[in-house]
Amino acid sequence: MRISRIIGVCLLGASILPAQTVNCLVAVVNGRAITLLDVQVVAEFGLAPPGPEETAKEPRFAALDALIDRAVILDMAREVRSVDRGETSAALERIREELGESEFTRRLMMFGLHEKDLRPYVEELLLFERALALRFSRSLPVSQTEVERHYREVYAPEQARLGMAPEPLGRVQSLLEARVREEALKRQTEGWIKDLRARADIRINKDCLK
Amino acid sequence: MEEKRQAVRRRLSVLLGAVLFLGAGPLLSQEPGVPVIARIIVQVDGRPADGALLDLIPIRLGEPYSPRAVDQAVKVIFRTGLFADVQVLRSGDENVELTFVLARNLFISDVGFLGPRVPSARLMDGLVSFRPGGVYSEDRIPPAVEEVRAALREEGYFDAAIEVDVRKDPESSSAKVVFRADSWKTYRIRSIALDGDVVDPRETLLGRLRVRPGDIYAPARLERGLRALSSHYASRGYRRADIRLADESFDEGQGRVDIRIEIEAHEKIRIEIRGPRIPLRLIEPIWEERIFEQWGLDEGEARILNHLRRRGYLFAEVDGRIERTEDELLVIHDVRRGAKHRVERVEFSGLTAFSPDELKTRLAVREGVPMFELLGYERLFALPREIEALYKENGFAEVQVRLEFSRYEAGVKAVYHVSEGFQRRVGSIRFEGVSLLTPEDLLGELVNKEGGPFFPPSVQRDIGQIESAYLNRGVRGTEVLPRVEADENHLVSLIYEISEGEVFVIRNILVTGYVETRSSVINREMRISSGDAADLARIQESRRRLERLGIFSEVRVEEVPTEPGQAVLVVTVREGEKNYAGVGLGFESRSRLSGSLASWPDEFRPRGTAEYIRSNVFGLGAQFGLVGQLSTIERRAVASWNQPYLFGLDMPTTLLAWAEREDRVSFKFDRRGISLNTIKAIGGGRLVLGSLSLTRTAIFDVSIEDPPENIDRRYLPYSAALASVSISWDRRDDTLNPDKGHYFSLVGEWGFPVFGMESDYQKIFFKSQVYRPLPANMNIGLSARLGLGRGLRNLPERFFAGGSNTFRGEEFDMLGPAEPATLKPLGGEAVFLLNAEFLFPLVRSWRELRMAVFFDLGNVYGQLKDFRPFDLQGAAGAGIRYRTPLGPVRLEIAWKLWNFEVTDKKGKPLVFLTIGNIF
Repeated sequence: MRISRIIGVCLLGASILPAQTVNCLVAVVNGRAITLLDVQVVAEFGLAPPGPEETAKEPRFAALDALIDRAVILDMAREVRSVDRGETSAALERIREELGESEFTRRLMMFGLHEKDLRPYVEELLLFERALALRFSRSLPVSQTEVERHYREVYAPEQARLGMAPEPLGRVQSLLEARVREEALKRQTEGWIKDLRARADIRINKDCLK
Repeated sequence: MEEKRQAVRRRLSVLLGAVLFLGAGPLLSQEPGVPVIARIIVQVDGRPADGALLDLIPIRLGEPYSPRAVDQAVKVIFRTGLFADVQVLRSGDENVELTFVLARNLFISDVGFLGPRVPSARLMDGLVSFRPGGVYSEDRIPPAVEEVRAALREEGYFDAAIEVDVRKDPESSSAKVVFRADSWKTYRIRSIALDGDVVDPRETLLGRLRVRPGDIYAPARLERGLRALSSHYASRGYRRADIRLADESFDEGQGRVDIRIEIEAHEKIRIEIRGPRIPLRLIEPIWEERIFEQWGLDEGEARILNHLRRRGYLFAEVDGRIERTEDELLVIHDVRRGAKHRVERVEFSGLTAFSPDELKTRLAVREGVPMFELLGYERLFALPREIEALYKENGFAEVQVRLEFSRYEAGVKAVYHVSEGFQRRVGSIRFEGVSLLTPEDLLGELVNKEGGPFFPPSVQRDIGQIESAYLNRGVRGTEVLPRVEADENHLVSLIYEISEGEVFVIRNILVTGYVETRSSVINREMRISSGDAADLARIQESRRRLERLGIFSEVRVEEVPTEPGQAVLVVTVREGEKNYAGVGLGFESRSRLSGSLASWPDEFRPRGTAEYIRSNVFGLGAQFGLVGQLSTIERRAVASWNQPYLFGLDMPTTLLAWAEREDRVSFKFDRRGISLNTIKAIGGGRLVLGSLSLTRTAIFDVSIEDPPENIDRRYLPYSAALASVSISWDRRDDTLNPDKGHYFSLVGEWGFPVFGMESDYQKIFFKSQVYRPLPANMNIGLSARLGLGRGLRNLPERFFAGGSNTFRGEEFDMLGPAEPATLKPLGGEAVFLLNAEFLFPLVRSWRELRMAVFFDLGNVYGQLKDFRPFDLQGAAGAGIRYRTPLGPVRLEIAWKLWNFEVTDKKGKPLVFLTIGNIF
């Protein structure tokens, strides 16, 4: 009798398999939902830039950050609204090449996606990049003082750490100028996004990512 | 033993069978290895949900499991705005059971504040995170607390410790949020330092600041003081003075604060207008900002010219210049006003498309109104733009209008020279890409017509019309691109390239948010059903009808696309307050006021009203009301039941039961009655009202000694069965304070001698009112009233007139026949009243206050056969009106003009004070 009860309970247990969370709301940004699948797709297909160190171990957190940034920027930059179909196809092709055909297909299957289902994610990334390009000119002026400071405080110590003699400033001038410009652009972009995030209505449900 | 084993085996096999059946029952036929959807469960706040929610999920049983489809379902559910959280659980490998776990959104029903005495409105202004009607979220509590803390700080309550009480009501999906401040700090101002350009003695400036040492420090109050100080500097010529709080240093121990205010006076600007007296406030705002000086001079000149021209100085001239001294900028405008001219005539030249008369009619330029100027000066100068706009609407895109004046008789003649240019017409209209509708359907919707004038902005309106046509046929996502091709003959071809969207069908209607209201009440208002095309007009009409029920504080209707071509209509309602109670106190004056102010209190009769209304009774959308009115001359209690339908017909219906006592001049009466009234709107502001009543009336304290034969002299209580029908047509711009429009009503009432009732009479009453605006903010109002009756033997049914609302040459009820011995009014079987009023503003800037002159004609005729429409009494008078939301407060003085009788004191006026229009 006892055996039959045990078997019965086991069978009942087997029939009520442990439920697994397959999707949920990870965040809501200005009324727009970001789901677990969104985060997973962006993370798995490399559609998010690598995040800071604290999120490097968990690419899904970097993906979530990237999705929130995109949502706040695209909410703001409503004039940037369409992407050329060819441009999206080219970007998709790059992803396919980077991952390799079989891995690309495997990841699509993992989420039950078709290639066309990836388009909205890619389009959003392209729109985001276009919005940033519109906002910040790539030709930021860089002063000689800034270049010299970078040479002194960053480039030379960096070369020394690598055990190499630093090149004379004149020879690396344009390289350092580009680096300084890139950093300034990054700072401006981060500042803008931070400001927009502060003003946005963002609700994050981190439990959903666990 | 063996039996026991067999029993165990039997149970096990049943259990196994049950497990297999439950787990894979519906899907035994599916291909093995491919996970398929076996079951979908929806839970809301831990409970099984309404089946209608399943329609939001675009997944069908038996379909292969797809994370993508699940994701779409999550997004669709979230888009309804009803849920704060959505989680999807999966169990089973091949036979997948999906459980959607939803957490309902709570809406904020009310936000309250407890703590220091600060007006809630001020705290509410600073509170952005929680607004009544918004969605409640715990994440928003910390920022909301900060917002309340900041708002309290502004009012002088620093570092408040704030607790938040949230009273959730899951039944109504609402939450009441109360912020409770338990402790806070206050600071007294120890010192105020004024640094920088201190142009007046410190005491004077502190007086302007209205904040002094020793006061409790409230930053908002200081801010108001700084603005007042800025105004003071501006009045001293420092129009660009920059005055700000530079520092506030708090002494926590002493509870004191030291304030430092920094003043930068900048340049002193003095403005002089030389010549006629012109208010400086016209020019002063120009120089409060940093501007180009020449622009400031030009703008000042334009404003002065505009000011003078509007007053009739048509040929005024203004020159401006700037003079600088060491510490001052002097702005000078030399003004030569010239003579004031009256516009005697308006002419047009260069017209071919319109005749001058046609143009005047189209532009509503009135001529020939005695005593009034032809055109207001403001309008005179606005007309060129109006003429250009009229021409452009008629296809003359190049039109130009120039205004010139020339001397004409004693005044001037205004001549509008019109250079019309060529006219563009619409040669053809074509549609490309139309398949869901016919071009004929679309042509009928357009503003532009083939052969008609071409006005470019109409193209945009056409696009709106085309989009609406598609939306109203359930098509979403239609895009319209216009192409305009003009030829050398000024004919324009309009081509609308249409990229048609997708036809959407309403898959289901999900109604949520109601607790007490019956679903049938909501469903009855819906003008769209499951399976219908998503006709936007019908969806919007459904929303309007739900709002019109008056039982919901909020109605939202949203289409949530669930899959291609399908949408679920989510109707969210919030039930409003159900109980309303109110009391009112007022006065009434029904007899004339005597000239002496000392006697006024005796003439004013206090009047009180108390009412209680319960809406949405039994969830039926009906309203129950109790109203009591009490004054020295009347008492009334009314119970009412209002419902939006009558036997399923869309006819708002009211059932009334009332008891009243009223003191009239010749008699008093008590009346009890019940009535059933229903209204049907027939469009264009027209209403038909039908009513059936049963009444019982008792007359007493009759002061008529020997009434004529056509009046029942026994004064016995009598019963009446009444049927009445009225038709009204209301096109007034405002029911209580009309300026333009008209009102017309006709009421027919029959008293039937049925069920032993004594009533046997017929009455009709006709009323017509017309209101028209005149130039210079003046208005005219005309009213005609005619009442005719037969068999009006009982005094309360007869027509009476006289007093502030009918004929102002007589006291209340005193118009018409009176008993010779007692001089008490007998009323009549006919009444005829004509009133004319002419209103004009007393002070241009105070539009609520107006002066009225009026002329009343009227009479009451004892019997129908005595009715003579030209046998009228006349009265004239004047008064002042003050507009209030309840209608105008009228103080009027009137004189009877002829037919003086014994009771009339010839030449002695009557004074009335009343609320509401005479009409």
